[in-house]
Amino acid sequence: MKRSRVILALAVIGASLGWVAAKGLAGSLVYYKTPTEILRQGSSAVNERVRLGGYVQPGSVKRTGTTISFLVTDGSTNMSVLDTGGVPALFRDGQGVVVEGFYGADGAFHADTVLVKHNGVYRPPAPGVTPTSADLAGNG
Amino acid sequence: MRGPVHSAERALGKLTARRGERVLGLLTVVALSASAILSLIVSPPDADQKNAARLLYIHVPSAWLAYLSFAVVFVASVAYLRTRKIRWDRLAAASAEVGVLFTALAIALGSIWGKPVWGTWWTWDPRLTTTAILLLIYVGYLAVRKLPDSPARRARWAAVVGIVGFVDVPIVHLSVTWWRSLHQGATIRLLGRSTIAPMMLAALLVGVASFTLLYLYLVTLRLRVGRLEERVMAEALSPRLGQPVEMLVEQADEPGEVTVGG
Repeated sequence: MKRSRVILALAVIGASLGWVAAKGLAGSLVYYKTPTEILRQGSSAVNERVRLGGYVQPGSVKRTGTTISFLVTDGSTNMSVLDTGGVPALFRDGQGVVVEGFYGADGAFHADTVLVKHNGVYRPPAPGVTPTSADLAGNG
Repeated sequence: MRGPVHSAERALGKLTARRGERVLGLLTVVALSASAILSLIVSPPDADQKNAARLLYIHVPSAWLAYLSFAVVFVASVAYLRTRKIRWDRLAAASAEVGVLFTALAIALGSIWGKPVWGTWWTWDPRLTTTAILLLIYVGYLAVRKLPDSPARRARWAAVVGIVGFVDVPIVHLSVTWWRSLHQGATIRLLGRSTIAPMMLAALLVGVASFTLLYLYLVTLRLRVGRLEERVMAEALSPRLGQPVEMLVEQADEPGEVTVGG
């Protein structure tokens, strides 16, 4: 009775491990693709749901209605992104981002999720600047 | 056979053990208070993340305790297999429980932090995925420990899981270096420049130190509870087996004796 309960628990844990490994590692080993990699893939990349990673090209961010468009660059290739899902508060020029969506036949990446990749730098604000937590309320 | 000297020694041992426990508890409270003051009041907010960056001071210490706990489980498991002394098994069990607690805490705090800064509670990035696997491995370890079997056999199985499971710890740590991830890489570098302001680094280090004291305190408490559990078990079995309690407790330190449960 007790043994079967523990074996059931172990089976559930084992199944969860398998699920996490399959779900996670399948996509995780290549968590995102760079613009260069998606373009190199050619037509097979079209309409395939992927993550695109790179930096927001400074000066490229435009907002029209609920759509935000910007360029993601990996240093050598730029890819145009059209996002309809909103962006986190830390989204800005030069920021590392991971964008979820698909590369369309129109040559643009259609995104519904924009994630900000923090660079691991921690520093106090410049003198005279009083930060407020409202800055992090987000608009996504 | 057991003279007054022996009894006195035992009494003294117990007293000092309890006193050591209290001193450790007091140190932990003082250190955690200092950490809270540094984290919430003294340390400045981050230029980009504002006050959300203060999660650094508890998220990183929690993750550190996960590594530390499972390293202790590994060492204690190896020691158990070599010596077959149940006290090593007890230490591995205590450390694994604390480790599971802090792995879960690191994930929860990371999730709370991820929402405002990354823009998501969760994503299947390598660091997050391998950490979820880490949690499952050691929850599994604790489940193996609940299998009704002879203490010696159960301890042997647990030790094997405790040794093999540890392989995920370096994978979790190096995942952000090996693979592309959303999670940031190391902020503090032993070689080269750390990318954190000195005051914030100080708060982080005090956080790590105070959490380490907390770990020692929790393991000490759990070890005492473990000994009490064995005592209760021995007292319950004593009339059935017709052996004195003391003998059963001592036997628990010998390999292959006393079958419990089943």
